[in-house]
Order: sequence, then structure tokens, then C-alpha cells
Amino acid sequence: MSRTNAPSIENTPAIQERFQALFAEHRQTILRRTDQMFARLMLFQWAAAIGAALWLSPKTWTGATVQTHFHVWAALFFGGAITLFPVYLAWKHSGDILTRHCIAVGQMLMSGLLIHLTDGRIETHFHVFGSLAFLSFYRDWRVLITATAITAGDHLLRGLFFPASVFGITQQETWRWLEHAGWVIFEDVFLVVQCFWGIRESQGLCERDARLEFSNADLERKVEARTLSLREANARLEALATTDPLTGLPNHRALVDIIDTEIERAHRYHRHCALLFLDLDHFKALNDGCGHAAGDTALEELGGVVRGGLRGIDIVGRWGGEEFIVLLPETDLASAAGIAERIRSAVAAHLFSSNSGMYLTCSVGVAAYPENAENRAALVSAADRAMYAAKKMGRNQVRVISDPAVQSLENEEMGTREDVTLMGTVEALASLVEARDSYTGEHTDGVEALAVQIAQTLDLSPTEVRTVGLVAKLHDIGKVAIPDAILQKPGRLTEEEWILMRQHPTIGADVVNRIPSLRIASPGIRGHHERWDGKGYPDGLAGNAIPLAARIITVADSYNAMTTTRPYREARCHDEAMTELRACTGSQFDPQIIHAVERLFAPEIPLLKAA
Amino acid sequence: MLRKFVFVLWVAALMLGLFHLEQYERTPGKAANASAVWLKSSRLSLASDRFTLIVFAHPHCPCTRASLTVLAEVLRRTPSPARVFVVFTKPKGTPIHWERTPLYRLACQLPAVTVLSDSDEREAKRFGARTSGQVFLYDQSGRLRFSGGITAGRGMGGDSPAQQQLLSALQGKPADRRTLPVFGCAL
Repeated sequence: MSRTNAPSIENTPAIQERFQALFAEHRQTILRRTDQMFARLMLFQWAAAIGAALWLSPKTWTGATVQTHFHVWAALFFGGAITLFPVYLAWKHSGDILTRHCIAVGQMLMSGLLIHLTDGRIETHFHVFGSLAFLSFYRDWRVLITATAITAGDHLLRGLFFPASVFGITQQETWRWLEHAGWVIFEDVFLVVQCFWGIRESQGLCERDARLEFSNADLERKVEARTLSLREANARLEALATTDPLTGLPNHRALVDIIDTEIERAHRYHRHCALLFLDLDHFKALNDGCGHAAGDTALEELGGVVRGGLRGIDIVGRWGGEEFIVLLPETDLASAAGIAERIRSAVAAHLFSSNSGMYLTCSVGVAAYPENAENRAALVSAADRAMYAAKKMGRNQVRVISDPAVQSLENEEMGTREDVTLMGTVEALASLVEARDSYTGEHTDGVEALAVQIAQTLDLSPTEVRTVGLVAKLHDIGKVAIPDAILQKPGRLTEEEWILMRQHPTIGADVVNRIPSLRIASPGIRGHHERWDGKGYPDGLAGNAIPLAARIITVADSYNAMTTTRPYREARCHDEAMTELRACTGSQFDPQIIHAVERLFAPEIPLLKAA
Repeated sequence: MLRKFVFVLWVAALMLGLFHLEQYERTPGKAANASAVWLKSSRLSLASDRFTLIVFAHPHCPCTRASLTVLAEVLRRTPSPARVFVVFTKPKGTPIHWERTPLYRLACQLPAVTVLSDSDEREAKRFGARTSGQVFLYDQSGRLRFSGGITAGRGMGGDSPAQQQLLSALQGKPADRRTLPVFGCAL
């Protein structure tokens, strides 16, 4: 069947092909449906013929003797012959061309039979015209030709051999049959036109369906592509949200969920799990000395080394900075300690590619569930404290939280209740400074961190290190008495303003002196602006007369000030700051302290052993 | 191919069946032994002023309905109405009112028609009628002007050559002595 000629950019070969297939399918549906309709109709007609025969002419008589009328047998057998073959074809070969032509023949012959049985009633002739109309349901004009041919042929033969049966005359009528056939053909004309209209309508519908299918398919593809894209984007976002970009390991957020899940599982099934808290030793020094790129490389490699020492079920992730967490399911404390030691050894033996090759160490803390903690926060804290203890005890070692040495150190670190109260007081005083001047607050934190590291480098005792920390924390407490106009002045201070500013060490020392537990920090606070050569203030002390804490804070304070951006100048880089410190060694700064700083930052210091 | 072959055979079989059906429709009953003159022994009375038309009918014959239909049409067209008898045979031994069928009642509805029951088929035998639907037409002098059926075939109402001949005879035109076929049940 030819296609409509609608011009359209959408008339692609694929759409044409689909249209043809849809149209063929639609056509077959119509044909089968019509076949089945006729099958039912013909069976009904057969029954009706038998009923008509039994009603109108059931018996034939000879006097008083009765027999079944010929019409009854005709209805039964001839009617059956007319009906059953088309019905069989409609059942078994529905949609075939032979089926519908057979039905056309049968339907028109059934008209003839019914006309006979009803003694030629004019009303029965309507069956002919009605049958033609039903046959047009096929939308196949050829079927109408077959039906018309049967009717016309019947009238032609009657006209030739039995004209009385149709025309009521005895003489042969050669062309009068056309008059009857003509009425049939008249109806045929309209039915054929209707067939073509019907086909055209079907074509239009199928064409629209084909286009719609393609549009829908295209839309489906686009939606699918977008959905896939979205899923991939979500997966990437999910990965980004849970993966550390540097090491590719689970990040802090992911580790929280993983640890929670494992603890819940262990709790449910009454099992163990252990956690290792691993920290790369001297990482800040590595970053500051060799650059952040070297630090990143080290972290990246560390992740791989740690992963290599684990079982398949173990999970390693980056907790933050240079801290890594290893989760060991189905592992008790003792086994975890063994795994930790294996990891520590592997790290120590590994040649890191940072700075053209160097050896690094790590400190590892070990804690287990449920022996040491019953939830994630407590477990991580325990392992963290154990790691901290490992650091305190010299680094490059594994410490289990239940180790008596760790407990002892914790007790010492924690101090007495008064120490806890003291730290609270210190923090409160430090917050006063920050409230006045945020720069000073941040500066104090930086000075404290560096001062403590310098103190540790000088191998001071924990008590001395703590005092240095106190002095560092409170060295600028006296600034709370300095007016804002001077304290927060963006430009350089005048001489008068400097006079006021130089009073802050004294003021700070006086403040802490009033707190008995902080008096130990007073000398250091007072002397943190003294110079090695005695040209400092407020007392002009020189050399070792200056409290050690003050000498340390002086260097840390200066380094931090030089490497911090101020409103009136940019921060200097580490090298420039170190150059300045060295230049002032012996004058402003204690050479011993400068040396300690160099050791702290130098890449070839024994603590960061090169390959 | 097999289906096409069966189709052809089927059509051929139907044609044969149709032929037999047509043959049945066209097969007349026995012709009457008609009397050329009115039988005075008949209890039917000959009209002196018009034609007398007698139709013999089997009360149960389905084909005779068509004959009565044609008769009604003939009488409608006849300018000079004849005296019409429709005689329904009642064979010996049949129950009372055996002949009182819908056909009988149909005949009673025909205008100016006398419907009679012919017990033991006496009149039918007297006039020589042997097939239901047999029509005799006698003129005023008792001469037979028409004998035979008035349908074209069994149960076929509507116009027919026989109907035309009866009409011609009723109009006084020269009679065709050829006995026309009668389509109906045997009396």
C-alpha cells in the first residue's frame, strides 16, 4: 500500500518503514476482526435459515401424509455447506485473502438461500445490500467485486435460464440482469469510496503513530541519557563527597559512616573490631621544609603503603591532614596491635619519593571495640590518645590505649583537677585578647604552636614545654589594656603610641601574677620582648638572664609575625623569615633557639631522615 | 494451493446445490385432469353473469400461500370480478378443523372469496385437481377458460406468465389451452 505524500523533514526511511509495519499490522487487525465477525454472522444466518425453513415451510404434504419439507433439508445441508467452509477459514486462516473472498461468496449465496426459503420476499433481498455493506468492513474493494460478481452471475443465469424467477416473464432477458446488478453496483460505488477513505484514514493514523513512536523513542533516549548523566554526576559527587581527592581513600565523612556501621554490626553479633589512628611524624616540618607538594606526595604514598599491609576486609581512610584511620573488623586489641606494628615497619622501611627520596615514620594508636570504647567517637578518641602518647614517647612506634605507659602519660598530661581549671583560666584569658584583636588572637595560636615545637626540639621536659605553651598563649595578654586606636591601628605607630604598646609585657605579667597558678608564666610573659644583646624591653635583660620561655617566644613571635600578612605589609615566605632570624642571631635572638628552629625546619635533620 | 483447490471445489459444490434448489423450485406438481365443461354434479354453483374461478388448495401447503397472494393481485386487477371459490381439501380421516390453518384464514381475508372445506376431497376429485394451487376458470356458459397454477415456481409470489394468462382470461381474451404447471403439495 503506497504511502501518503505529506512533505515533512520527519519522513525518514526509518519512519517510513515503521509506518508500513504499523499499517500492515493495523490492516491485519481489521481483516481478522472482520473475518471473525462474519464467522459469527454466518453461523447465526445458518441458524436463522433453518429457523425460517422450520417456521415457513416445515412440511410437505401428500393428502394427509406429511414429510419434512425440502426447504428444511436445504437450510440444513446447503446452508451448512455455505457456512462451514468460510467459518473454518475465518477460524484457522483469519486475515488471509482467500478467507475474505470465500466469505463474500458464502454471504451472497446465503442471501440467495434465504430468499428461496422466504419464497422470494422482497424484504429478504435487503440481505444482499446489507451483506455488501458488511463486506465493506474489510476495506478491500476486491471483496466487493467478488460479492457483486456472485449476485450479478446469479441474475445473469436466471435471466438466461429461469427469467420467471426474477423478472416474472418467460422469455429470456439477455441484459435485464444488469438492471438488478446495477443497483448493487450503485451501492458498491459508495462502499468502494468508503473503503479508500477508510484506508487513507488508517494510513494517516499509522503515520502519526509511527512519528509518535520515534518521537517518544527519541525522548526516551534523551531522558535515559540525561538520567544516566545525572546518575554519573551524582556518583561522581558522591565519590567526591566521600573520597579524599589526594589519596583516593575514604575521607572523614565516609569513615564516620563506615566506623558507625562496623560498630553496629559488631554490637549486633557480639564481635570485635579495632581502630588504628595513624599520624605521619614531623609532617609540618616536611611541609614547611620541603614544600606542600612533597607533603602531598608523602601522604599519597603513605595511603598506599598502609593499604598494602592490610587484609581485604580492612579499611583505611584519611581522617584529616596527616592523620589516617584504619578500621579492622573482626579484630581484637592484640591482633590489631600486631597489624599496627606491621604497618609501622612498612612505613619506616618505605622510601618515599618526596624530595628525591626520603624515609618517614609514623606513630600509631590502637583501640578496640568493645574493650576500649562503645561508640565511634569514644573509639576514635581512644586511638587518637594512644597515637598522641606514641608521639610523646618518641614517635615511630605503636601504642595501645590500654598500655599502662599510655595511661600514665595521659594522667600526667591531664594533670590534677587544678591543672584542668588552670587551662580553663588560660583559655578564658586568651579569648580576651582575641576578642580585642582577632589578629592578635590568631597570632597567639601560631606562636604557641611554634613555641611548643621549639621547646620539644630543645628536649625540654613536659612541664617546661607546658610552661612555654602557657607563656606563648598569654604573652600578649597585656594588650587588653592597650587602647583600640593603637592596638588596631593599620599604619605605623607613633613614638608615643609605641611607648604605650611597650607596656603590654609588663601589664601581662602583672595580670598573670595575680593568678597563683599562672605565676610561673609571668617571667616569660614579661621578658618576651627582651633581646639577647640586652637592648630589649622592659628590663633590658641580656643573654641567659632572659627566661628561656621568653627567648623561645621571642623567636616564635618574630617568625610568626614575619610570616603573617598584616594590614600594612604582605607575609614573608619561610626562607625570608629564616634569613631574618639568622641575621639577628646573637643580637635579638638566642643562637641556641635559632639553631633549634633550623633543626626543626631543616630537611636533613635526623628527624626527617633522607635516603 | 490446497486451500485454493478446496475453495474451487466448494464453489462447484455450492453451484450444484443451488442448481438442485432451483430444480426443486421449478418442479411442478401433477397436472390436473381438468374437465372442459362445468360439472353439474359439483356442489359449487356456476355464476351466470360472470366467470367462476376455483382454487383448490391443500390447507397445509406452504407454497400455496404464494398462489393466494397472486390470486389477490389478480382479483385486484380484474375489472369484472369473478365468483371465486377457494376450496381447501380435507382428506378422509383427518381431525375436525384440520383444514382450518393460517392459509385458510388468509383465504378468508380475500375480498369476495368463498372459502370452502372439501371433505374427503370430493370436489377436488370431481374437478380433477391433483396439486395444491390448482386454478380453474370457467366462463358463464361453463366452458373451461383457464387451468393450472398461477405462480412461477414453488412459493414464488409476484408477477408470472401464468398470472398474466389468468388475467387475460378474466378479461375475456382468447384462452390459452395449454395447462400451466402447478407448484404445490399433492392433494
